[in-house]
Amino acid sequence: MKKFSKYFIALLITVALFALAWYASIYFNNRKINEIIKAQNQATIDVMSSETQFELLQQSSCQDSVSNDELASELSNLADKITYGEQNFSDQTQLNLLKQQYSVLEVKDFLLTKQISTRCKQSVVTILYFYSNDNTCTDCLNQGYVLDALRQQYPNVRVYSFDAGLDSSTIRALISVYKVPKTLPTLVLDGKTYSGFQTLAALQKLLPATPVKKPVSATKH
Amino acid sequence: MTIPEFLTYTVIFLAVYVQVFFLVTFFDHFKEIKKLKNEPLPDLVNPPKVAIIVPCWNEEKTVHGTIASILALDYPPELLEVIAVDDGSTDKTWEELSQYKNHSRVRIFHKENGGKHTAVNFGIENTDAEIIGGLDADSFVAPDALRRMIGMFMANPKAMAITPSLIVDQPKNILQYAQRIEYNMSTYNKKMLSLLGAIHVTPGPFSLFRKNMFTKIGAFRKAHNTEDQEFAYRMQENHLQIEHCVNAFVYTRSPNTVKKLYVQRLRWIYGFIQNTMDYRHLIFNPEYLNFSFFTLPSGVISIIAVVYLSLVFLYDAILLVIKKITVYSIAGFTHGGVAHLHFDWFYINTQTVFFVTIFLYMLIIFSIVAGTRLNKQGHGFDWHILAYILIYSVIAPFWLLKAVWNTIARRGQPAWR
Repeated sequence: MKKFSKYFIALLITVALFALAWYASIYFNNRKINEIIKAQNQATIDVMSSETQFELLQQSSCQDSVSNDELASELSNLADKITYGEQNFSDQTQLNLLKQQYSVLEVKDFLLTKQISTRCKQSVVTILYFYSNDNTCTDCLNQGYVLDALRQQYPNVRVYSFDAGLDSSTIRALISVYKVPKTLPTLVLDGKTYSGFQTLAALQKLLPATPVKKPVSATKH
Repeated sequence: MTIPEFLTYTVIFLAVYVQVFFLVTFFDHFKEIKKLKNEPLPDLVNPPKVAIIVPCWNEEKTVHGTIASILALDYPPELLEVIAVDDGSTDKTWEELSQYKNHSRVRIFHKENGGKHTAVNFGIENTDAEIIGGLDADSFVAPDALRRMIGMFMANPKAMAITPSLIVDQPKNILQYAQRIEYNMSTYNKKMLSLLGAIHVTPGPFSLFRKNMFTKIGAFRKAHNTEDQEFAYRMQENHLQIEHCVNAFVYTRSPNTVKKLYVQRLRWIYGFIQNTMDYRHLIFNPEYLNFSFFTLPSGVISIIAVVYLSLVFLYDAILLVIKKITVYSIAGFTHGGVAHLHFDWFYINTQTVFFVTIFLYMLIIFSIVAGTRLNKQGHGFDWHILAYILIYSVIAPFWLLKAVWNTIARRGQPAWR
């Protein structure tokens, strides 16, 4: 038995190293989740701030600076982190909860953007993008690339992405309002629903001719 | 956990286990290893006669240096002879050797070409020395190496073979510096295997053997052009002890181009696979302890690990290329941008595999630093370690994959050079 003790000790140490690595992974992933929560809280405050600003705007002219650009940037940052989490976190439970909250923030920003653009006659194009992370939507990844490219070419385009498979009353309401079919990906561009993969050229045709310089907005795919 | 993830974790677990096993062995024998640092030169009373065989095949440029380094060894001259065997060279090796025709301590022989093992066997048959060694014509020996090795033979009558520590001689380019790091690590590995009684190779450059052993287990064989590996396997099979003399340094020239290194390593790895298959009855055989439970399995694991991980890497690389082509075809060049270049720790991989890979590299770096100290090539971290890791990560999978492919496809053994 003694001659194999070294094998046993080495095994114990190796298992301990793996346990340490596993613990470190959980620790840092929790920190990442906390970072998403922090970013989400900040975005929530900014939504409320923008809504308050908009209410104030009703009583003044559009020349007064009212904008939700900061919020758009924060949502974009949040979207990147959630996408990374979807691809890398082993436990998706907490992330799904955060995605539900994120969806609500997106809808609030979407409504606010529409109101500001109508009230102040800003040329902002809003796209609601319904996708799915499961294997049934083979074109969702490609649709995400197309929308990214579109955002870069047309800074006045704002894309709001929603995981159609997420258990969220907000998303269910959107699906119902815009009559989103089960075929994904589906886009809602300025209120009109387009089902199935849309090419870059097809989307470009649907946009206003001249892009207007505006900061980038949130996209998640 | 998916099947590829499970396989990746299994392979990394085994790779970490091998390094941890070496580490446990290191600390188990720490006092003994520490003493090696200032080990005095042994006093030899009635030392045995030694013959060093120099097998030559087209070595006209280096053979003088090799013989000179043997003659310069710190050993009683009357007890040391050089046997130079020209193995049917087609250059002027024989003319060069002929200059030693009347030398009192050098005997020269010429034979038809038959391969390195035949030249060494020819030398063994033509000497009455008790201790026999070989020295490739591309290697040079430190003056005190022989005295130290003979000291070990005299202190341990059970030792039937003793191997030296190999050091890359005068590296000139980054590839050779990387090989020097690798050789330093090999010294650490070999010392640990020696402490476990589980050495699997008696390198051509200056490994010494007791002559009576050849009558017991026979001479060198062709053994897939890796006769020094097969001979060690045969010794282990016959329970003959192989020791490693850390402080006996042999300087060897290393390949200076990727192509030459590839050819050399392809031969080594192919030889390892073939010899291990030939001696597969030793694997997990309780009769052979650490050689069967550690040395052979760890060698097999390392090949499987590199082959598997390089195939995974290749698969990921192909997927990335396909993705880039897809993105380009559907969205043009506009996708992506400098906006994502800013640093955010959030995007650093913090999965378990990332941390265990870091542990694995830490263990490997420890073995390199320890080997560098044992080889007296420095005391701390050498930046060429990074070059070694980078270069070998890229090129080692090629010779490993080729050796595995040659085995599967039943191709012939690789050429000597």
